Amino acid sequence: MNKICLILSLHQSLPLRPYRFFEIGDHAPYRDEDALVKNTSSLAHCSYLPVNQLLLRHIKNSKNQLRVAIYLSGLTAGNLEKYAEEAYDSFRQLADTGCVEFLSGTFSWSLASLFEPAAFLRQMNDHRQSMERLTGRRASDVFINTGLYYDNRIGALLTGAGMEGVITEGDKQLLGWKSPDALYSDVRFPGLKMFFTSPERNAAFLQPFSASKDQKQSGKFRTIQEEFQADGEDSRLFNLMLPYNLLSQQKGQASGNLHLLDHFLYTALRSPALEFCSPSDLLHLRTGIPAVQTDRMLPVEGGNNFLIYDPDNDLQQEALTRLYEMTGKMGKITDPAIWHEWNFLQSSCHIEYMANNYCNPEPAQASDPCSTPYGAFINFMNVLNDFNLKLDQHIKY
Amino acid sequence: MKVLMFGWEFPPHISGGLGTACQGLVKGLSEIPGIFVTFVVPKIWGDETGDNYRLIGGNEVVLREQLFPEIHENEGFNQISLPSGIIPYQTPEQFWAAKSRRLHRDSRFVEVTEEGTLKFSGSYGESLYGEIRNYALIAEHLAMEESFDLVHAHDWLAFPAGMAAARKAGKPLIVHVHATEFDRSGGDINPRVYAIEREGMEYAARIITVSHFTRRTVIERYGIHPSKVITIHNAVEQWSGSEKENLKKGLPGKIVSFIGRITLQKGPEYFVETAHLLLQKMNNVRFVMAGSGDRMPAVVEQAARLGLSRNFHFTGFLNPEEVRRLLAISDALVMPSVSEPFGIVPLEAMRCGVPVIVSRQSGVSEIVRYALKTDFWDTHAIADALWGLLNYPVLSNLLIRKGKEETGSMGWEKTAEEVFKLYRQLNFHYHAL
Repeated sequence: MNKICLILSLHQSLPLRPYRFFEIGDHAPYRDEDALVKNTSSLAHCSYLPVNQLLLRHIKNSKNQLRVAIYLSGLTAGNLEKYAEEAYDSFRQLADTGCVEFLSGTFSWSLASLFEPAAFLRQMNDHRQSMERLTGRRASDVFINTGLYYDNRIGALLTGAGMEGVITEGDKQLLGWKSPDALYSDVRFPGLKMFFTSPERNAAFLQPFSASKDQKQSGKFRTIQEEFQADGEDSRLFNLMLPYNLLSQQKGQASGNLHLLDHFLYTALRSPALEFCSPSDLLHLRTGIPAVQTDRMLPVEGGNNFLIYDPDNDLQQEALTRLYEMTGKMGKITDPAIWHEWNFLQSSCHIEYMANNYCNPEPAQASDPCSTPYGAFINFMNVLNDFNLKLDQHIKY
Repeated sequence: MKVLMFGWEFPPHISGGLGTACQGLVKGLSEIPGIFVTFVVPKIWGDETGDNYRLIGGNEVVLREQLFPEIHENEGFNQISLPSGIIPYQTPEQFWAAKSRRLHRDSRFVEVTEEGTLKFSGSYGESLYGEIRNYALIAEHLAMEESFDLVHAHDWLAFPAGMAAARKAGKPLIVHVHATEFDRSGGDINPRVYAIEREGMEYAARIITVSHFTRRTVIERYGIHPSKVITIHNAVEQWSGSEKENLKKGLPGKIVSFIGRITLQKGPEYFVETAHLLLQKMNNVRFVMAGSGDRMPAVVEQAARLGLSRNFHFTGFLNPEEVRRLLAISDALVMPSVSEPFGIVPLEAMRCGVPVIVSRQSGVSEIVRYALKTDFWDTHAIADALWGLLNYPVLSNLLIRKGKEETGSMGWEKTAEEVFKLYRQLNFHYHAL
């Protein structure tokens, strides 16, 4: 019998307000609170709530057969608690069913793991606390890193923090002839189980409703479904990862995706060849776990996966270096408001806007600085400069 | 294939990008085998260079009167040239003598110099319309003297000439739109200029626009059918220079330049406003405005009123060599054009390793990737982009490096190749008819 881990991820991107150099030193707010309130409540109604209701319904109808893993960033959880209580409660209801595992991760969906171990551990800790607050139980021991980044250094940090599993992407170079559809462990850290998801499969799952009217693509969904339910000799493990923002009730492609998920859950739950499980359920499997050796960073660019961060991108490199330079200063800060801002600044969406291939063809407003990588960089650096001054002032007094 | 091309200016005697663009295109075309370009300008100064192409000045063409059809014997066939109807005269006596004859109704009297040529200033002075008319006469004359396969005219000043030549010789006309009246005037258009532009566009077999931005203007404002209008982007002359390293700045601090005519179209006020904003936060920056134009007095006053004189400099018009030197010491270039069909200066700057900020209302912003783009009216955004360039070296270094690479691949050969493709296509259709 094949096993499937359905992983849903949610980090609502929180753009910065256009922050002109004039405002450096004024300590004006960094984000547009009004837009945030509006955005959060509209997304909650067209995406988060419908998806959660769908999951609740299937859990109930299948008598707890459906098991799901959810990554909810701490920043988003905080926003939901403040501005969309209904959605926050729906996550709590999911947790109460006992069928949903809330994965560990970074508080801000941040890239701290690549730059500053201290900041990373703090992010992890903050995220665990926020998840414990939401679910009322101990946080999960399976970790999902921002952008699914993983290497030996991160492996060591995770093992040190007591994590037992990590979700990342496996590619041909790493796995060779081995199938990604199995549970692995890291040679260096035998206690750390590795769940590989396939970006091709994740993308193909949502493909039938894409704008391209490619006949081949719509066939893919069926192929994947058949693959899931195929009764082979060995049982396979599929880690299917879907972001919330691609599942919504709004008109257009995303609404189709919600129906697709509904249909998929309906048939999969009735299939005798397929079993849903959450990552933690699998941690205690002891037999037949092959080990892999990871010598470089995962995932690797190429194919159709879009990486948030590219080490060759000077803008991203500079922005992140300057950001994490402040970790030391943050250690001297106790003001929770400043800590909140620090967590907000770490959100990887700011860095994503600086990606080489990022160009927003139709910015929401002409003044949107994030419509080009350069504008996003200047804006972010202006904010960082201001934040740095703020830290200096606080440390002095 | 022989092309008769009409322009208004040619380097080194230029007032803007038009002449530079024409030269680049002609040079590019002349490198394609099987094509020969004859470029006509109203006035030739004598120091222009032309290697693989012929350059004719309207002021050098000797007009002669031709009253009757003439038969020239060629190998195997006779060529008949019809009377042009142009009747040149030098003195009032000659005029009256000619006037007393029985004449064809198309006859036109033209006052010529002793050498039998027409006088041209080659500038944009008061007698502009007269010069345009005379230029068309020259074109008509050349159409009978020269042999060519098609006519190509650059911008409205040369449209009447292009039409005259094409009509006379019965050859197809291509008009090349580098700017429209809507760009130059900012909306308050001169109906006479508009009429000339529209007539040229309607007559032309094909219209080349330098950007999609201009193509839209041509289609929407001049009512031209989209199938006739083709966008072929301009390019930048390749130049392997290391002058950036050789030149030393005489002034301390960063230098931000504006290079272009000081006219409404180029948005000089926005540059001054940007300087005003930035100087409130930084004082080691100098702003240089190179160029001249009708808005200059107003802009000088604006700068004085805002108290920028210490950090704001006007250079007046600069020749290409001086422009190159200014670029060599510049840390950034701003082009806040209100309406810019193409805008070649940013490409030249990028080629010299100067990061640029261009307005989204420009054609060049369609094709460059490694430039900062803002709306021309949003001076806060321009100032912010400039602040970023001057204060975050990672950004400016990236733009310098990538900008050089990017402009390195934008040679005129590519543009010329596309124009040639259009020529062939048109020639094919023409002969098929």
